[in-house]
Amino acid sequence: MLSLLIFLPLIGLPLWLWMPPKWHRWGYLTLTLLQSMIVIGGILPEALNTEPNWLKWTENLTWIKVSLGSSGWFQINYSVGLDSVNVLMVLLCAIILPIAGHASYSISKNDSKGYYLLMSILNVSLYGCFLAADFFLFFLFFEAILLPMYFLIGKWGGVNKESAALQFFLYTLAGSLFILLVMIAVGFSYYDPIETARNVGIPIGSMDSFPGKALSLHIQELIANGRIEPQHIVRTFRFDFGHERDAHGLPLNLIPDSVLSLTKTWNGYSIRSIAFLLLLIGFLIKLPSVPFHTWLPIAHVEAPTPISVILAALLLKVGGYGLLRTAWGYFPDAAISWQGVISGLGLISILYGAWCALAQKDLKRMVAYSSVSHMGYVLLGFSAFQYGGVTGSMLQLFNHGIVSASLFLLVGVIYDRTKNRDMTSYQGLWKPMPAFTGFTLLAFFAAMGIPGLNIFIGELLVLSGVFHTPELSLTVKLLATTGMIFSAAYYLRATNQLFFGSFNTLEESWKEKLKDLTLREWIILLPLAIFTLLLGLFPQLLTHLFDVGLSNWLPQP
Amino acid sequence: MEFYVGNLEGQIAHLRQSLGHFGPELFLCGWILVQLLTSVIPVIRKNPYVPTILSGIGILITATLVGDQFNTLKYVLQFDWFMGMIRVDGLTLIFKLFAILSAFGIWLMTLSKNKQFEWGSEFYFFLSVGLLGMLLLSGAVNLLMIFLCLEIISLISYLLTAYFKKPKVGAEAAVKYFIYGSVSSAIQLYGISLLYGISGTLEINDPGFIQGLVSDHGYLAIIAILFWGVGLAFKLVAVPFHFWSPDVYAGVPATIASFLANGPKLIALVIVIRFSHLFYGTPLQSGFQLLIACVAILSMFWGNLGALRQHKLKRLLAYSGIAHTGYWLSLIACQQPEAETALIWYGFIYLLASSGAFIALSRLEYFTNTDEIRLWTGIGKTYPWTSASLVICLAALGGLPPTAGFFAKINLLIPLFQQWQNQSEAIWLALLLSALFNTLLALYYYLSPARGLFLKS
Repeated sequence: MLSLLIFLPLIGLPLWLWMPPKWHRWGYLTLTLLQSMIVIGGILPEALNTEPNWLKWTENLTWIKVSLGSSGWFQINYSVGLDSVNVLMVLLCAIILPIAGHASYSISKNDSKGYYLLMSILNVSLYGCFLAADFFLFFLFFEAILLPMYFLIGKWGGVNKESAALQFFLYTLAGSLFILLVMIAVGFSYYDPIETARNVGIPIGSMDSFPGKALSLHIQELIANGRIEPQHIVRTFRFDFGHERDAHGLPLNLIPDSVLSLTKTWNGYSIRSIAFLLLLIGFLIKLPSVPFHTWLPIAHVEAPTPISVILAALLLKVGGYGLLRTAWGYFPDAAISWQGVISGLGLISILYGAWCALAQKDLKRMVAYSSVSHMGYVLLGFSAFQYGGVTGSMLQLFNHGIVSASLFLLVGVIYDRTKNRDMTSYQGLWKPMPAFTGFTLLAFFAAMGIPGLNIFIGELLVLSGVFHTPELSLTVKLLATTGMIFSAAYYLRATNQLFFGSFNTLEESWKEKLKDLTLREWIILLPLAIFTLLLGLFPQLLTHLFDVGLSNWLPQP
Repeated sequence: MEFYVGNLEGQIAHLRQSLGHFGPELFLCGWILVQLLTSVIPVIRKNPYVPTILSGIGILITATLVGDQFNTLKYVLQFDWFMGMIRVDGLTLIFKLFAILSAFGIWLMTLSKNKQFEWGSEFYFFLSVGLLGMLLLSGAVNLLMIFLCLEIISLISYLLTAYFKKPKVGAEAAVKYFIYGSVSSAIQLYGISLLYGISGTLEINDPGFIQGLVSDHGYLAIIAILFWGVGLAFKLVAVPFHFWSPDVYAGVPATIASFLANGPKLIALVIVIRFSHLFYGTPLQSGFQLLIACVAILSMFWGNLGALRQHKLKRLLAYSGIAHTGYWLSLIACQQPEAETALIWYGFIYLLASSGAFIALSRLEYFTNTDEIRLWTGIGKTYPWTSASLVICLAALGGLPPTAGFFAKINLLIPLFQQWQNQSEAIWLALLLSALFNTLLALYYYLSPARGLFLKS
């Protein structure tokens, strides 16, 4: 089921080559809608019904098995699954991808072949990235996002598209190298209880059953005693064995005395700490957080509207999701010891992003910096993960996906009409474009964190988590609350500039072009607006899906 | 191999037995004669298809014969033939396959119509002799045999670089290549004579060989190994004997550059692997590892930093080749069986990706009469398939998923990590980190053709 979901867009690859260009968008839309139907109709009811603690719908195949000689085996699995950590992200994909596909109407028919080809590959990589239950597979999809994205920004983007695309590519790749290094270390340090047991002949019961805590503990003890020789250990990248944790909160399948065990140090620094830091940097580039955010405004400004939507709504989420899945999943102890730094980075992102947004005239840049600010809350929530902050972060990731998508689409609406995004060029838009004004105000208010709209809940939970964490300093707690004021400041300034006063534009000819929303703009904006309202009023629709599982998954204080 | 000495009957029996396991090479020798003879018959000489077809058939039959040799390894893992001149083991056969694949790639490149460069029957003759040299080299375990094989390949390479006199840069390239090559051969030969003087044997697998090297406490053994390594480094294009490659690649047609980059360069690796086996568990091991690791790090950085500044695709690929040599050597420095497996896997992927890149390059060069990336702006639209193939092959060389290059990259990093984990010395960390950093550097320039072909209009 999940493999079908991930690889469905591959059907499109031959189709785009032979189809007449005018059908491309509809073809792509059909495929993405089919995927959304699988998610909403097939996967979600099941996820709602049972306690979402374990991976569900798992598909697990041995893919590559490499002998390491005296160090045993390296096993890479094709393993996908749904659990409380990724269920929201998959849902977000299901909402955003059809909308981005439908919003691609401004792509010229001449080169739509390549565009939809790359979009299909991007689509596969995104779903694959969120659903992968094996670090290696996750990393594979994570890197596979880069090349299509590079071409999508670089070919269909704005004036400085090439340098923007290159900057995006090299920044993310630099981050992925850190991740790669840690991934190899993880591969050396975690064992696969089932395969190892099978290798040394310990009875494990039925083949498909998940290893119980007892089995994992037993094998760990045997390895520690030297009763299982290193050459019989099967090392794994799978995430799902990490659901079983010991008293320190470490995954039970950690190999004693391996490179990532608690006691190992390098020049006096704990290797676990270093590995956590490397993962943190790698994913902070993607998230992005200050000081690694500089690629984001450039990439956003240059990317075409649908790509901006995917970039803001999904690619940034890969960063947040990756952090939670790998850095927090494998190194919860290091996450606690780096708590201060993480909360500081989150706080700086919130404030610095907001201040930068306050200084922008270009609407897209403003929205891009507001994304940096919103992602700061995610990081802040992660730093307070023991006290419920992480629930807020997950909600923030999801809600920001919805709101930033509608913000970029709304900027696209103006840009399509006048090819100008400077907010000082417009005045009094509410008169000719009332529906546009309505949608924009809703999105602005949501992004400001007005109660009753979706972003508020996430930020509130993050802040409450931060206030409950005794380790964080009072300064962080107090300053974090001011972030909401700054975001109100820049969004209200933009509202003031764009909509109030009498109707006026920089060039007289634009006045005729600025008509209200067309039907297809309604179609893409309305679902996002509905989600903004609905999830603001009934956040338990989402929290119900994941919060029990998520707090069981992470170690508790 | 003393037991052959003085026993004529035994020697003859051994030689006869050896000939039975010499099928591909024997066949190829015969076939080369056929190619030579047919090329003097006037009727056939005028027909451009005959040499092409003959050469193709020759490569295919050689391939099947090599495939047949795998059967002989079912029960015994290695054989020494011709009184210890040639060894047939898994390594030999794998490198023979590499040689055949690279020759086949070049043969494929000559199929496409190209008015600029007409491939005469001599070219196919050179190709077959080059293949013969590479086949012999992959099994050579005697210093003289190794030298002879390297010289066969060198001679063919000199002839090929000078094959087209038309562009002036070509002549310059040929002269440069010839002078560099002959000097390095001479130094290598001097190294061989020193090695023979120290150890008293030419067979590298003879226990006396390494014993002699180890027991020589002076600097003579080190100097001899270094001198001997010069010839290999020249063929492998490793720093500091890499200076010829960008100039030579730029001066010759893409087909011949492809031969230099995929044939001799890859096959010379087998000698380095065999030689590195000798140092297992000897006092010289750590020194050898350090030497190879340093050359590896230098090659990676030199190749990648050099490639950043290149505007011509051939020069760019030459520098990328230097960097890839660096990656290979870093795996050899590990001296682990797993690292060798990874190396062979890496070599295979490199062969495919690099051949593909050169094929695409030769087509684009033919279409546009230049390999200047700057002048290729927007032709991705005119030649979508060729350009897309080029981009995919370069992505594979750079190690991006979902291409096989990604697995080559992972396979490179895992043994390096394991090595660092097992012996936590600074050099291994340096090797690991420079390999990581270089993959980042490399992707900047591997993307530059894509930028020109597709992004600019």
